[in-house]
Amino acid sequence: MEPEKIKDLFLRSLSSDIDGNEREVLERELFTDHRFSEGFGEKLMKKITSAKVLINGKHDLARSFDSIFMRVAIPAAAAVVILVISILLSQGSLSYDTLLGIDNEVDGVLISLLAE
Amino acid sequence: MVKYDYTNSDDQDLVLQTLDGDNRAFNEIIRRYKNMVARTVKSMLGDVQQAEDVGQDTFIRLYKNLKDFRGDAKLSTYLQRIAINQSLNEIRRSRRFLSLFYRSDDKEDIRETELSSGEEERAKDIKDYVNMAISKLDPDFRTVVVLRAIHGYSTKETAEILELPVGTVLSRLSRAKDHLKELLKDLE
Repeated sequence: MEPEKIKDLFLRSLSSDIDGNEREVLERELFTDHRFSEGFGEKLMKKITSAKVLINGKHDLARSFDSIFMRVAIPAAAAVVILVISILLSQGSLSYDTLLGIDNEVDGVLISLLAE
Repeated sequence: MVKYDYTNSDDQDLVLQTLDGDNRAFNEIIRRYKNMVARTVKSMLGDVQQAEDVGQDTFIRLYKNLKDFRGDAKLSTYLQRIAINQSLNEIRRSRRFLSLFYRSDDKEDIRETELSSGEEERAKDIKDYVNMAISKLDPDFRTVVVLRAIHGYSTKETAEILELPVGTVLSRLSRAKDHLKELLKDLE
């Protein structure tokens, strides 16, 4: 089809209703390539089922807990590591007592307190 | 096990089945409307990888908001609205990004295109030429052109999808037509 005719048909379709045949011509000549790649639907369904996309955020609460947990857990783990390193540096060894902040002298104080 | 035939279900049934947790029903919605969505997003954004991503986001958004779909409008209208909005968001996002690097001269780009002499190549060139002209329109004008000329919606339907007054759609169509006439004046 001549470019001039396609152009006229296209411009006419903006301001008036074109008939079925003309629409077919327009689609064939100008818009046939507008398709998604092969496997679009499969990829999308996989995304929906595996990425836990949820209808109307049914489990959004669980999801927000997950994100809050990650935000809290990572700094907490980092704090524990820093604590362990600082104990190792200051005490030279690592034991439950030092981790809990109780040294041997505290045991004696506690026993005498209890004995009273 | 009896395989359920979703192809005979109407859109409302498919929505209800999906809400009941049947993802095969949603798969049928994708099968029915993927070409329509492709046509919208590719006309709005061009044939780029982002168009596929926006297509996926359109269906994911529909899936997530399925409970809000009350059936007042057709599912296709609801989906078109999502596809258009997602495309406009993508245009804004990429414009912001591209504006950091360069400014293009729209008319320069399109007038450099020359039609080939072979029939097949010529047909492809015309297709590219017109689609390039559409992509040069302002997003608001591009939207009405996509719905009216590419999808064949009436002015009233276009107004319904875009949730705009009919008068606004008519005015945008008229201005888009003038702009396209100018952009396509060398196409002969």
